[in-house]
Amino acid sequence: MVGKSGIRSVIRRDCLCMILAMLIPLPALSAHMPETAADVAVVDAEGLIDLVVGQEHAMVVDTRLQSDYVRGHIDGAINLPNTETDCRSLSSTVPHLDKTIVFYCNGTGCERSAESIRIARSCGYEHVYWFRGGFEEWLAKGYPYLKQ
Amino acid sequence: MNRYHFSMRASVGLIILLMGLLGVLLAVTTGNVYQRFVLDNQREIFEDLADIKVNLILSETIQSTADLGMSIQASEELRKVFRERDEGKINAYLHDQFHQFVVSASLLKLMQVYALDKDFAVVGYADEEGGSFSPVDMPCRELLQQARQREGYSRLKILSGLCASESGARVAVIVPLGGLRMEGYLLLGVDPTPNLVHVEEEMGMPLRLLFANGGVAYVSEEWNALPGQENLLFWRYSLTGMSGEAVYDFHFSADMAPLYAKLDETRQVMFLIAALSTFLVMAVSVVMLQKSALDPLARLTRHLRRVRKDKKHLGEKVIVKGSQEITELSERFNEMSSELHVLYKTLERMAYTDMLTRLPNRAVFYDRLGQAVHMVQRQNTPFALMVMDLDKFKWVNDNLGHHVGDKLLREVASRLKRCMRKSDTVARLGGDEFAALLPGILEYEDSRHMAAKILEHVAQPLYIDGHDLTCGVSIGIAHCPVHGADGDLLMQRADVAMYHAKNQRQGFMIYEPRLDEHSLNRLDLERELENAIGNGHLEIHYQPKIDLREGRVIDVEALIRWRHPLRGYLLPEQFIPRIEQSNLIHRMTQWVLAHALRDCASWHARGLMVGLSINLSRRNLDDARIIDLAKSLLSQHGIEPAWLSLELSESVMVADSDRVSQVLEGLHGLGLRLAVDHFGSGHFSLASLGRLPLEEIKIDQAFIHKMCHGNSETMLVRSMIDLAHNIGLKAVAKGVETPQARDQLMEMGCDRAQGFLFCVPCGFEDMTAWLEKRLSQGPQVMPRQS
Repeated sequence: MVGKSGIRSVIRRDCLCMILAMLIPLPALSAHMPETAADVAVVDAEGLIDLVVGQEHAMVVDTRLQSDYVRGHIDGAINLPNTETDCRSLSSTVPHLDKTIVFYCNGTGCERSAESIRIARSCGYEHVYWFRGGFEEWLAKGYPYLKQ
Repeated sequence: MNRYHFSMRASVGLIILLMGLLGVLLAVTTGNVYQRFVLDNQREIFEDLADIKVNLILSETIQSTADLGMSIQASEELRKVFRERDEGKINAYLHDQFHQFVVSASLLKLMQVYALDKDFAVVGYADEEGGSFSPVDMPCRELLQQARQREGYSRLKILSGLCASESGARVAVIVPLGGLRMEGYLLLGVDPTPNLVHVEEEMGMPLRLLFANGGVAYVSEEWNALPGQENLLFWRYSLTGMSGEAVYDFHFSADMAPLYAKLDETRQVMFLIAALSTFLVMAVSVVMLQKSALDPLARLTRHLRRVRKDKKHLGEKVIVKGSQEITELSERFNEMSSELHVLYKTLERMAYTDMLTRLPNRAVFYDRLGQAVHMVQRQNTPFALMVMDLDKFKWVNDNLGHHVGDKLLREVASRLKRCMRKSDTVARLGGDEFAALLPGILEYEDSRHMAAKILEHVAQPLYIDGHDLTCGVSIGIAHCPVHGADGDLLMQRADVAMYHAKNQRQGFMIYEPRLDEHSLNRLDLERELENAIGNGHLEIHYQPKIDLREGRVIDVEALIRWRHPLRGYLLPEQFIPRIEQSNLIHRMTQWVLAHALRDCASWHARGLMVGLSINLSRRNLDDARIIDLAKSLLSQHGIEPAWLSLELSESVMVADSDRVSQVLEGLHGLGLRLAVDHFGSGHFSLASLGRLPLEEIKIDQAFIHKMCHGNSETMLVRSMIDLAHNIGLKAVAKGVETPQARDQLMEMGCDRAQGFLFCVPCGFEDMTAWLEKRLSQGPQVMPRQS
C-alpha cells in the first residue's frame, strides 16, 4: 500500500524529474553520455574482437533498427533494437545472465546501445560491454561488415 | 606619275577600316587559338571525368565483390564444411555461388572463388566453368602476398585490387571467413570488364576498351561507325592496377561538331560585333572629324576662294569652331589675312604711287592719259599734256648725293602739285621726269601760261641740307587732239618738244611737227639701240695711248660708234648721256667689254701685246655685277687683268657712295688698272684722288687744244701734271694734235699722250695694221700695274 503522503512524494519527485528533464536540452543529454555506465565496461572495435574471439559464448547485440541492421552490421551480431529490448526479449536471445554481451548502435551520438545496456543491467545481466564507437567506428577502421 | 589624293574623310575612314580588318584578323587568329585551347581543355576535362567515372565503377565493382564474399562466408553451411575441411563440399558450395543473383544477373562477372585457410593455403575452389584449381590461375598474387604480411586485427580487414591477368584483367577481393572468430579467407576473382564498359553510357561517348596486352576487351558499335565522320576528338585514359601496371586502355571518341558549331556561332557573333563596332567608330569618327576639322576647313577654303575672286575680302575674319588645331589654324589664318590685307593695300598704293614724291606713278598717268584720250574721242574734250625734265638734276645727284636729289624731287613734286588745278594730274614718270595732264586746255596760250607758272614756281630757290639750289625745268607740251589722238604719240611728241626746250634752254616748248626732223627721241633711241646691239650697228674704234718718253704704245682706248642706218655715225656724246638714263647702259658696257677684249685677245694672239682701255659710265659702278662680268670675260679671252684699264669720269671721284667705292675696290682687286678721264673738265676732289686705287689721270683735251706758251691753260696743264706726279699717278694728255703740243707736254713731264698726232680712232682692222707697223719698230713692254 502506498500512503497519501507517499503518493504526494512520488508526484513531487516525478515533477522534479520532468522539470529537470525540460531544463536539460536533449542534444546536451546525448552529447554528455557518460564514458562509462555504472558497472559497464566500454570497449573499442579491437576490444569487441578480443571479447568475441576470447569468449566462445560472447554475444554482440546490434541495438539499431532493423533497417539499419540490414544495410550493414558486424558479422555475428544479433539485431535487437532498443525499442524492442526488455528482459523477455533479452532472455530469448541470451538465455544466461552470466553470458558476455556487447551492445552497439550507430556511434557516440546514438543512445540506443546505452538504453539497451540499462535494460540489460536492470534485467540482471552481469557481463555487459558497451562498444561505444558503434558501427561508425567499425566502418572507419575498415573492418568487414555484413549486409543482410 | 599619277598621284592619288585622298580626302581627310576618306583617309580616316580607310584607317578605321584597316583597324577594323585588323580587329577581325585578330578575332580569327584568337578564335583559332581559342579553339585549340578549348579542345585541349575539353580533352583534359574528359580525362578527369573518365578518371572519376572509371574509378567509381571499379570501386562499386570491388564493393559488390566484397559484399558477395561477405555474404558467402557468412553461410553457416560453408563455415561448417570449411571447419571440416571437406573439400568436395566446399567446392560444391562455392560452385553454387555462381548462381547467386548478382552473378546470374550479370551484375558481377564472378570468375573464381577460393577458400583459403588462415595461412592462405587453398582449401576449396570453384570457377564459373567448373574447372579444377590451378595455382597459375590465381588472380592478383601480389594481393595474397600483401594479405600474408598482415598481422593482428588488420587480418580481419577486406583486401582488394585490380590486376592484369593472362586472360585480361581481374578484380581480386579477400574477405575473412568465419566472422570475427576468423577461420580462413575467401578469395574472389571477378572480371571487371562488363562493369567498366558501362563508362560508355556514363560518358556518352563511343568506347574501345583494350587490355594492357593489346587484346580488345570491348568495342562499341558506335565506335565502328566513327570512320568517315568529321570533327572527332580522340583521347585515351589508362587504368592502372595495384602494382602500378597498366591494366586497361580506354579509348574514347567525342563528336566535336556541336562544339565547333558553337564556336562558329560565337565567332560569327564576334565578327558581327567587330563589324558593328567598326562601323559605329567610323561613323562617330567621321561625324567628329566633320565637326572638328572638315567643316571648319571647308569654311576656310570657301573664304580663300572668295578672297581669290575679290581681294577686298582680305582681312575679313573667319570664325570657326573645331578642334584645337583647327581653331589655332583659323586664328593664324585670320592674322595672316589681316597682314596680307595691309600688305596688299601697301602694294596697291606702291603700284599706283611714286613712293618718293607720293605723286601718281607712270602706270596711273598712262591710264589717265588713255582715259583722257578716250574722253576726247567721245566728248571732244581737249587736254594738254606736259612732259617735264629737271635741268642738271644729274649733277645734283652725282655731286651732292642721292639724298639731296631725292629731297629736290620731293620739293619739285610739291611745287608742281601747287601749280596744278584739282582736275589736273601730275605724275612722276621716273628719274627727274614728270608729266602733267591738263584737261580742258585747248588754246596754246593757256598751256603757255601754265608752263610759265610751273617754271616760275620750280625756279624758286631751294635750301636743302645746307645747299642753296635753284632748279630749272624743261617742259614739252602736246595738245590733244591737235597733236594726236593716241597716248603714246602724244607722249612722244611732248618728249620731242621737251628735248628741244632743254637743248635750246627755252624753258618750255609746244610741239611742232618740224621738231621731229631734228629730234633724236629718247624712246626711239632706246628701241634703236636695242636693235643696234642685235644687228651689229655698234662698232668699236680704237685710239692708241703713247708713252711720250719711250714712244711705245701703252694701250688702246676703245671708243664706241653707232653706225645708225638713218642718222649716220653717231658719236658717244650724242647718245651715251641718254643711254645712261636707262638700263641699256649695262648691256652696252657688256657688249663693249666683250668685243674689245675679243679684239685685244686677237692682238695678243698675233704678238701685238698692247693694253686695252675702256670707258665706264658712272651707272656701271652702281652694279657690283660689273666685277663678275669683267672677271669672266677676261678669263674667257685669256687676258691678264693688268692689260685692262678702266677709265672713269671725274664725277665718279666725287660720288659719295659706298657701293661705288666697293665696286672700284673690287675691280682693282681683280688686278685691273683704273684711270680718271676728262680730268679738269668738272669738279674734282683731291681727297678722292688719294683714296681711289688709280694709275693715271687723263687731262681733258679742251686744255690741250688751248695750250700756247705762257697762257693760263698751259699753266693749268702743268699744274695737273705736277699734281698727278705728286700723288704718284701718271699724267695722260688727250687730244694731242700737233708736234708742238707734244713737245710742250714732254717738256712739262707729261707721261703719256693720245690724239690725232699719233693715230686717229679707227676700226679693228686699221688699228691692227697700225699696231703691227708701230710695234715692229721695237719690243713692247707690258705696262706696270700701279
